Amino acid sequence: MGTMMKKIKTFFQLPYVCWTVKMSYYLLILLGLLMIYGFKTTNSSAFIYNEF
Amino acid sequence: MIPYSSFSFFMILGILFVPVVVLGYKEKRSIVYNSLVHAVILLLAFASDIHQLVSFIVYIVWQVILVNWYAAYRKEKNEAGVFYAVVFLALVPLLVTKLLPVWDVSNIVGFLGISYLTFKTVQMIIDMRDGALKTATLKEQLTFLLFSPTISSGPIDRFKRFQKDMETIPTREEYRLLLYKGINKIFLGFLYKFIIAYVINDRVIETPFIQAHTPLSTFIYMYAYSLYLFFDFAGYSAFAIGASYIMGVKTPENFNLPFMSRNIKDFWNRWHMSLSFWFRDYVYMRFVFWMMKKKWIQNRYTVSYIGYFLLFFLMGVWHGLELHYVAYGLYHAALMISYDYFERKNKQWKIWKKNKVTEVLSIIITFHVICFGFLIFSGRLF
Repeated sequence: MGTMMKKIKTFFQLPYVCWTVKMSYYLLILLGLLMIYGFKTTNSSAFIYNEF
Repeated sequence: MIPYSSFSFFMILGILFVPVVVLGYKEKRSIVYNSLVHAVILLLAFASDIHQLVSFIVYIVWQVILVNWYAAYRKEKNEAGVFYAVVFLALVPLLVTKLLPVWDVSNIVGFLGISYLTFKTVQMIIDMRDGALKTATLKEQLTFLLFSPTISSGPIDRFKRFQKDMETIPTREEYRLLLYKGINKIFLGFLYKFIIAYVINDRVIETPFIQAHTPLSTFIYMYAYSLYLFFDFAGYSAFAIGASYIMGVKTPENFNLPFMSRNIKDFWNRWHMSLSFWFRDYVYMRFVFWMMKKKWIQNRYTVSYIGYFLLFFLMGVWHGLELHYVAYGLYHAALMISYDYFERKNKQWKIWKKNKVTEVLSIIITFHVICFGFLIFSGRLF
């Protein structure tokens, strides 16, 4: 179990794997924004703590 | 335009940041250009409402005069009465802003971010009183107060820490890391505010079932609102911290997995940290130190509990003078005092032993207790 975890850890530390994971993370967020708001500019309500 | 609330704001920010990034990579910082960035962001935030813009300018002039006057005075004398008077005068605009709505008078004094600017000014005055801050030039004060990424809702930075960042120009490698972290933070902000908070609000909170005010809907609302509040505010904080990083300033964090807290003390070290640390250092610690010096109460626990009460009462009232905010503050004061008492007694009685099971249980209990606090905070109960 310990060796397996070590291997997974090492795998995710590889530069190209790190890059791919990060890029996928950014792309997924952009995709999420696109799905919710489309190409319209959001006029999201203010932040709750702006009131204070 | 409220900072970070629309995509057009981010587009403008992105364009404004191009020269900042280019200079950052060249290990340079242009004070003139950075000032222009701040001016544009501040204009975007206040120019749409002339009352806000005027109030903001008058407020800044007022606070700068106060700080400068006190800095000059402190070199000669150190009277307690003068110190309290200056702190009170620095608080006046905020007090008026909080009181006007209670008296049903339209608020022409307040503007976006007045609270956070007040925390910064009061902090400088207290540090001068303590001798921790000797002088602050006009340029340094304005750079600190008008730092635009955190203007609307913090995080509340400390003058000396901020100053250190201003005096240090990051190396190419350091800036590359700051930029990388900054972009990461901004994407995290998008995820929190524009995706998760939006979905919670749109698909849960705003649904007719949750708005129906039945016991079950209030129960679900309690958790949904708690998560919504976190993702909304943590999203804002991520934007503010990310933008600060890109400008070469390591603005402090505001959140550190608050829903994983093991107890209420742990929670306040993880939730809205820059504010809770401000209250801890400038209200609680000062109060406890003052009381110990005066020796009016001998029992240090009693002094500490009064300190907690004062801290959380003020924190509640700061949110607003409405009953639910006051109740929220008192609820947390009661929790903090009870937990502190329990923690002390537990050391003798060993009822709650430390192990993996109790740790998980502590996190679950704390989570529900915190969520109930946010239900009070939301104003849905009363």
